[in-house]
Amino acid sequence: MKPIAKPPALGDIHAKEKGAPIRAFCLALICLLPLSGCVTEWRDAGGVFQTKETELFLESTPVGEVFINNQHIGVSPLTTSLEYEQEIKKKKRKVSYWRTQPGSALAFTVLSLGLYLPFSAIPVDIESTQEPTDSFRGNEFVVRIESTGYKDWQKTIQCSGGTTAGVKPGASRF
Amino acid sequence: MISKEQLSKLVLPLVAIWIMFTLSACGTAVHKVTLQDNYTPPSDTKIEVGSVKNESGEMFEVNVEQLLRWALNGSLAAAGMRWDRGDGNKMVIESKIVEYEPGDAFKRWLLPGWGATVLTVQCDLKEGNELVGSVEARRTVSAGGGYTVGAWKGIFDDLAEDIVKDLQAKITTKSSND
Repeated sequence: MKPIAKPPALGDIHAKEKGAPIRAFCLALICLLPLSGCVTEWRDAGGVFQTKETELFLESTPVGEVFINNQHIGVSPLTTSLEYEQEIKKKKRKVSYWRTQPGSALAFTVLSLGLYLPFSAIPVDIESTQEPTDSFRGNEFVVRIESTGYKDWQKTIQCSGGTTAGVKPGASRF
Repeated sequence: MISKEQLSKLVLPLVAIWIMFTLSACGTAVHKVTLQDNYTPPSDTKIEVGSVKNESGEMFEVNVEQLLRWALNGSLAAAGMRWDRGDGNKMVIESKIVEYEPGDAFKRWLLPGWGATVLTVQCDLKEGNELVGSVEARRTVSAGGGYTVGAWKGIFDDLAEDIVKDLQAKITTKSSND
């Protein structure tokens, strides 16, 4: 007599049903991941100059009148800000909507019952970045200290994006 | 498995949501105002729109500088923060348009992400000749249909509103803290 196959337990069926949505979700995720990688090459989109500021602390012995680029600033010791510009390089590339707005892309896919999915891989949206460079404009400052009875002290300072800079001329200047 | 009956019940709400999506705008907004650590703006600070420059490296059919100037002036006036002569402490906002893409509403409707409208702005905040802060703001309209037709212009108003709201919050917070 042929043995009758044992029917699956009710618990097993429920477990399989419960696992199905998780498997579907994982499968969808695996399918969607490569879509976010659809991008074009970065292309140069020019540069822009952004204002930068470096705080300069100036101390001298003896005290003296401080001039920066021939403009009278005050009497040392003092703190003043030096303003100049740093070049920021712009880059652009085309990316898929999954990269810029994954939530919306998923919503469009679900709402269109999957119709949007193949088209969503096309890199059409714009992604841009701005990277600071080592190129500066107007970052050279001539600092001069004048004290009565002493020889003038002068130095050219070059700022390169730092937040603070200090100048402490020694007594050897006299 | 979903039965045919269940599927037909699902289709109508999905179509309704789809229509809603295509009619409405979808995009991103990123904006940040930074004030110098050692700077506390007086609570009566009002803002004047200073220079507005197009530094995107591109020329456009529309006068983008004027559009941003109008938008900033409008938003500042609406928030009661626009500087009128002799009225409170004056801060000047000097703006640079770093990136602008007018976009295309039809393309957006056809394929989300295509024909996106993009605007990126960088601003310096100055009091007298001194730099007291900076603003970075970016907005995109990358999906949607009918309602995004005027996004090439509307994006200036939305971005200006973002900036002014941030400024208002920052000035209020910093003044009340110190």
